[in-house]
Amino acid sequence: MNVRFYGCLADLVGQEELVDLDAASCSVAELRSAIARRYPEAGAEIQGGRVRACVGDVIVGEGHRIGAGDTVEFFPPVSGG
Amino acid sequence: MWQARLVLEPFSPAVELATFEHDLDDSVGGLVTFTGLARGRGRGGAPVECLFLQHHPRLTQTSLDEIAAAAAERFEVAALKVVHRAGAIAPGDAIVWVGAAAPGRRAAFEAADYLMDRLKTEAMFWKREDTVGQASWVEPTEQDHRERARWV
Repeated sequence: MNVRFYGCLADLVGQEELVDLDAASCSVAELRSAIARRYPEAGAEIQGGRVRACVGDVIVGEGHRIGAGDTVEFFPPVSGG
Repeated sequence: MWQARLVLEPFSPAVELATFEHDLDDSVGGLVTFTGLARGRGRGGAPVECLFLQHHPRLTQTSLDEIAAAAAERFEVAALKVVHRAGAIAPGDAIVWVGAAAPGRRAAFEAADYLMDRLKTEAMFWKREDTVGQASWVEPTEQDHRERARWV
């Protein structure tokens, strides 16, 4: 699967995108844990309840199962204007 | 009638106003506009070199459309227009422009106010303020959220 980070998350992880992340099918919650283990600097943010997960342009819940071919996007709080 | 446009290059609020006004029908008795500008000073007071608004390739436009459509539904307006910048924005440049035209002034004022409160807190952008030697991500303030909460 691919993972894309927006806003402050990209800075915390150190890159905007993880391509072909070697992860079997897992839930959003499990993916958050895996990212937090691999990028401890981003752990508090990605697991802190402020960051939404999105698959196929739809916001998904923690139990959503992510397929191996999916792209998961993580959205920190937004701000326009 | 509403439109929402995401732009990646500088735009002119004067040109947006002129085209908006040109297209209005004769039911309109007043129009309200708001222009949001990139500040030259950051929240900490340091000079800003650049404001960067990251956007999502599809969902940012969707969020602008949803906000504009909701305003058109909620208020007795004849026309609404939202123009929102993304990318690297120089201090003093326009970030956002909204226009609301209505038969009566109250609806125009309220629609513009509503649009801005929702854009500040819900439009899908991630905003970074670059000052000398420092970059910081900016989120809506408590006041922004309180102002959004006025519109239940």
